Amino acid sequence: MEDAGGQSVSIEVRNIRKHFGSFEVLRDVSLRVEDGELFALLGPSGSGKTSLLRIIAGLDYPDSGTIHFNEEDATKAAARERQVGFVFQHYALFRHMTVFENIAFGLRVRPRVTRPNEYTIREKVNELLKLIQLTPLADRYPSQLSGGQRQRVALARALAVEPKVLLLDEPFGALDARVRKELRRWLRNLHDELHVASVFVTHDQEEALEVADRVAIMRLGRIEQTGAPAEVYDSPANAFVYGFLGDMTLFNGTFVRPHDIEISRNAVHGPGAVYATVRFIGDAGGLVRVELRREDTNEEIKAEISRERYRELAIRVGDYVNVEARHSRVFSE
Amino acid sequence: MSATSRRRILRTEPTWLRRGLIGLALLLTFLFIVLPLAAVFIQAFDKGWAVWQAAVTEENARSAILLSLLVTGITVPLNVVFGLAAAWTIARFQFKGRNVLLTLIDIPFGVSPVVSGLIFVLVFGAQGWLGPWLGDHDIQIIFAVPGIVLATVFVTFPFVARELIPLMQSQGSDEEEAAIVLGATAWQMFRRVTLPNIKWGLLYGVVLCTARSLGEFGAVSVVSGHIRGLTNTIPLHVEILYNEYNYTAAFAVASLLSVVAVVTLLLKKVLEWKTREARV
Amino acid sequence: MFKRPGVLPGFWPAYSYSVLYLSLIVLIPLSAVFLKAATAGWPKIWQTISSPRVVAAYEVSFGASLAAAIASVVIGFVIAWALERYEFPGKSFVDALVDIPFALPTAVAGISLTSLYAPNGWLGRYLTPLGIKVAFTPLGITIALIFIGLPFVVRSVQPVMEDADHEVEEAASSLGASRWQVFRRVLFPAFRPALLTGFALAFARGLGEYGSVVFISGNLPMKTEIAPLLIIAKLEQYDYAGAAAIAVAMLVASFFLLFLINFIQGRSRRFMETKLS
Repeated sequence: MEDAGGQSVSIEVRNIRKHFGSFEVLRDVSLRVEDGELFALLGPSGSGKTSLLRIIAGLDYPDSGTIHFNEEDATKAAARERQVGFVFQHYALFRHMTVFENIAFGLRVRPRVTRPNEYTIREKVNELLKLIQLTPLADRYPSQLSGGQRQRVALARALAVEPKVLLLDEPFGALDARVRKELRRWLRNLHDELHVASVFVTHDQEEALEVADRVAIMRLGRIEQTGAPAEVYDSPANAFVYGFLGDMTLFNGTFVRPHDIEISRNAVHGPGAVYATVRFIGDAGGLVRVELRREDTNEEIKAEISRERYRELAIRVGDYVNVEARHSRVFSE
Repeated sequence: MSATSRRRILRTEPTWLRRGLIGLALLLTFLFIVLPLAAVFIQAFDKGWAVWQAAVTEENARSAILLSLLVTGITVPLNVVFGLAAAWTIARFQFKGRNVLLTLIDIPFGVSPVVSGLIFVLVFGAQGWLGPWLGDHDIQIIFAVPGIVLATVFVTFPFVARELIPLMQSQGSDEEEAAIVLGATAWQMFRRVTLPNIKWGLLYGVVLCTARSLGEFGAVSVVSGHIRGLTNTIPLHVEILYNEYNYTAAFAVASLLSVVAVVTLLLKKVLEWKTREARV
Repeated sequence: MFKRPGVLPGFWPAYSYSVLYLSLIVLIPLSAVFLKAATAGWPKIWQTISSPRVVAAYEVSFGASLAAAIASVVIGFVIAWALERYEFPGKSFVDALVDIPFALPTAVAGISLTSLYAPNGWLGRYLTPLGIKVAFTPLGITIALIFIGLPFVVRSVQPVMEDADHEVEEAASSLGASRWQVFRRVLFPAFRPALLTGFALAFARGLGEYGSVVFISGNLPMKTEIAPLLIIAKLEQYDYAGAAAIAVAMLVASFFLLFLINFIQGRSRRFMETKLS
């Protein structure tokens, strides 16, 4: 498959604005996706991430701003000229075509001059079927496939045209949790093999942080922060990013991750430590969730502790404990 | 399926009431719907096969059949093109005036067939807007074939569009967008993606449009002028025969239209089933 | 102008063609009626539509349509109820039969109904001795309009019955409601908007109906003459303005009904949505 996406490119989005009616979907968005990078657009629904993806694909046009593939302005180029591979959220497989014909579609609709012959098309499609491990299902129709299989066919169909960039809209959104995790790893491996600049949209922070090389976190049509997963997780730019990437709780006027809350039975010693009562204990899962209430201000505090520590502390609802934070952050909004 | 049948048992009325209501429904259907249809066929063959055959092959009957086929042959393609254009516009784009367009498509359903004919008489008739001009140029529209076509087009144009709009809306535009991103031209997208997806709905619209074109009476009656052998369609011929007390011949010719109606219903069942398949 | 121009091709050609076609086939001819009526002037219009024969025709059309629409609602409800809630042999066949009045040309329905209800007809010969005259009376017109209106009611109510929430019905039963109470208080209110829509559709269709009525009505002036027939009579006397005036009155009535139908449907949709949320 070394020829798929042979001449990959970088994508650059410059100052894109877009509104539907009076609603501003994108407010001056700029970002750069390097050649061969797997990039995630992460944000809650309504943050504009799908609109941005559709604009990159040429499925929508921006009000202002430009799109560049390898420094070349592609803003005015029609979708069919951009050579992008687009995987739709609900796959958009052609329901009246077999798996084979779905994958072959992009090759068959090429102008006669550049259209490969039937033999080449078959070779190419069979190769892709092998890649997505669906060779035995080539003659099935989309309605006869499972969600995960449809997703892979949609991906193969997009790859058949040897796209310069690959765009995926919520690629795992419609799948159940187990298939999701499998496909996630599979996509990462596939990307490492193809090495074509890819952008995927997701609202699932775990997915974005696990799979992507870099992540842009969006909110209300703006990009809040861009960076490698470890970078955005460890040094979030603001409270929104901090909260979106993981659970958080307010403690002494600062934001703290629940697993950074320290519970002990000792008397108060550190400067930030306070007394609290245990209100609730959720001990199903790898970590034990503890909800506490501060004695002095009656504020609610969420904490997560390991099972070992839980056994060690032997706390029960109603117990009186000492709470302090290991790391905390202050953000100015 | 099993869930629904279980529910049905839970909410069933007492047996006597259920049987009574089923019986009543069957009786009413028979009395008000089946009997009028059956009466057509029974009276058509009242005096035997030979009389029926003579009635439908007689000179004036033949020219009426040919005229109806001609009018239908012109009307249906026109309305198919319109139906596709209107459905594409309304089901695939958001624009100002979309609701106005939808309302205009529904108008023929709310207008009396007689008024549908009248409006064309008022435009193209001898005393109509364009009447004097048409007279000077020796163009006859009212009391001639063009008028019959116009009136039929008016009465039947919603059928294809009304069938396609909900179907295309329920299917969404993802597949068409996918085709475009994969490099298809507008025509390739239409031929390879849109058309295969809507073909059963389109066919059903064509069937409805055809049946109605062949059977339209009120509107055509106003614009035709009832010239025997020239501007008489099948239903108009039925009327003339009936008014001449030639009942058997009237029902014989009417039986042709009734066959069309029955075939339409059969096709409807088949196509409904096919579109339901296509929607999944 | 457009919320989402998007990438799909062909908007302008398809839009322009649709608008052009609708203008030529619908808007321009339709406006001709209003203009024709207007050129005659208000006094003439008023004189035409208030003449005793025309008023009598409106009364016949209106009365028969109203009676037929009410009868269609009752009969259509029974048929839809049996089709949607019970299983019986030949059910899908009966379901298909309901569309016959949609498919059968009106002229064919007209001569067939007349032959059935004429004094010597299959049904007429049993009704005449009882003193019931159907053909050539307003009752005959009503029967023809029931035939025409019935499928509108059945097809309006069926989807609502199909979607009805079975759990609500079961919940009512479990709260101690009798079957009749469940029907009266739970089921019927849910079907009412659809019944109303079916009623309005059947009524609107009845007002304008021509083919199935002219044969059975006998067309006696002041007694069984319907409004559409008067338009034809005016045309035959070359009274175009008079024909246009009657047509305008009918158009206004049917557009008002269409508006009403949309209003009912819009309201019931909102009702369904709030029910869901």
